[in-house]
Amino acid sequence: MKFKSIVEEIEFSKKRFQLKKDIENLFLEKEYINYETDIVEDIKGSSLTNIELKDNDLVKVIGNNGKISILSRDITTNLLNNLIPNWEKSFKVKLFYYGKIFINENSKIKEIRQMGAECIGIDTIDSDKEILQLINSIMKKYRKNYILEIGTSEYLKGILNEFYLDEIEYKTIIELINKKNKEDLKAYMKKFEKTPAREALINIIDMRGTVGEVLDKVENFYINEKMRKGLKELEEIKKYLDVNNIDSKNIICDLSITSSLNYYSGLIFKTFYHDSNKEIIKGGRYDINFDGYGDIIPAIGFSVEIDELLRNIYSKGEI
Amino acid sequence: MDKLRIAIPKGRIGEDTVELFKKIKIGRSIDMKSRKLVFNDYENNIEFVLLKNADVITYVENGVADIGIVGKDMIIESKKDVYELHNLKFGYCQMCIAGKEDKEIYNSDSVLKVATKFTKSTKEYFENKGQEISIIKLNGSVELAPVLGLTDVIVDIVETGSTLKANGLKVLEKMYPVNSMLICNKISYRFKYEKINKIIKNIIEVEGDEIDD
Repeated sequence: MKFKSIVEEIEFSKKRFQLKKDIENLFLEKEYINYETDIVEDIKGSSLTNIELKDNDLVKVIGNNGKISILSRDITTNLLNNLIPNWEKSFKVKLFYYGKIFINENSKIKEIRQMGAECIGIDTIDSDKEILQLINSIMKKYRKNYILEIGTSEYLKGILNEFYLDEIEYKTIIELINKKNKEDLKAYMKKFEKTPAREALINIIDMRGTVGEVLDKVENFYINEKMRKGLKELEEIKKYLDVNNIDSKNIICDLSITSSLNYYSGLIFKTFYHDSNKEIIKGGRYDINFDGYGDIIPAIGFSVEIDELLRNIYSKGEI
Repeated sequence: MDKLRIAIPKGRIGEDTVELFKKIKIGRSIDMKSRKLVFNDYENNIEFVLLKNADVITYVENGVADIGIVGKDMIIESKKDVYELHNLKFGYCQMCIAGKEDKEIYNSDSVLKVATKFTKSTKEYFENKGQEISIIKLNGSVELAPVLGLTDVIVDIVETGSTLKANGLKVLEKMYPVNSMLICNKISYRFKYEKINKIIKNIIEVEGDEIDD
């Protein structure tokens, strides 16, 4: 068995820098501005985003005065904490970042390198298109075949609004959808009254296919206002994919994506390479209610898992 | 088209799985009596690997196998990140708390001593019930623990209850039902969706799926 030599170690670092540059160039071409976020954050977090952070996952640091802070766990939250207090109505900005997040995992502190982009203040559909185009450019740069899975948080949230769920029921349903366990979901939902909303929920795992197929399939089921809002955004995306040069064979629509439901408020997406066991890119729309009076700042963004992407393409000599 | 790799556990569940697969016309080359661990179905472009029951889920989670057959007890115990696509109609049993006839399980004044192989799910179960426990991990003949006075009760899978009875124990509480499941790797689900879905559809067809409401 041979361990990594110093030459290989330096070579790996060189490649990581190259990967970062490659992605950075894609951001710069689209006129994104670099923004550097903080590593140490206030433990209280932020009321601006509802990202679900588990207390045990957070890496805490203690200052001389005994004050507890955390090491950055979510770069978007960090970025918004800095920008939103001074936000001006109708201001628009496209930002990109390169940073690290920290998480407690199996009694070790794990550092995860991320790059990402955020469109803040830009109209919904325009920023959706822009972000999808960027993701497409990053993914196809390294592999011809990839999957960009898209959905909308509003569909599932809309259905769940139809039930009066306690915390355990909510968690159980999300867990079953997350495990794609349609049969146990169906059995669990028997305790609720048979309604069109229940039928829609039981069938949510089958809402998968091309964007067009899924938009057709959902019409056979119950749709309320919130669900319709999410589907409208997907319809716009379908139109865009149809007329633009984005290869739709790489794009799958799935309405049962459950990631951070409270955080997202519309389009959500994840990307995959067949030879990597983790997501490469993830993100979505997280419109911000910035003054508490209903004034909404449209916002959408994504992060690229740099370590995962590099591990994958480096081991195959593709960078 | 990409090859599909299916992980099958050795033993009883494995035998039931192979029988089911033969009904849907895949894996005809699998011979459970041979010492071989890898079998190829060139016609359907599927490779079958025979693994220890507890390892199936690890192979699937890490993407080395695309799908696998495993007991629900293993899924609940291991907390691995896999998709649970279909409940198979075999491997039925119950996860139970068992002990001597007059043993009281819930008593807020004392710590209950429990012997089990399933330490994580046992801990979680009793935590939810508010009963403080001390777990002793055993790898086999768990039934002996209360008989010889090592623990108060055991948590184990019960199929017919005859082993318990033969050792003077009885089921004190049924925890959850267990059956075999078809599990799937998260990335394979995305890249081999059609092939995997077709297998499940064929299984459901031969099982004569009951459609109820």
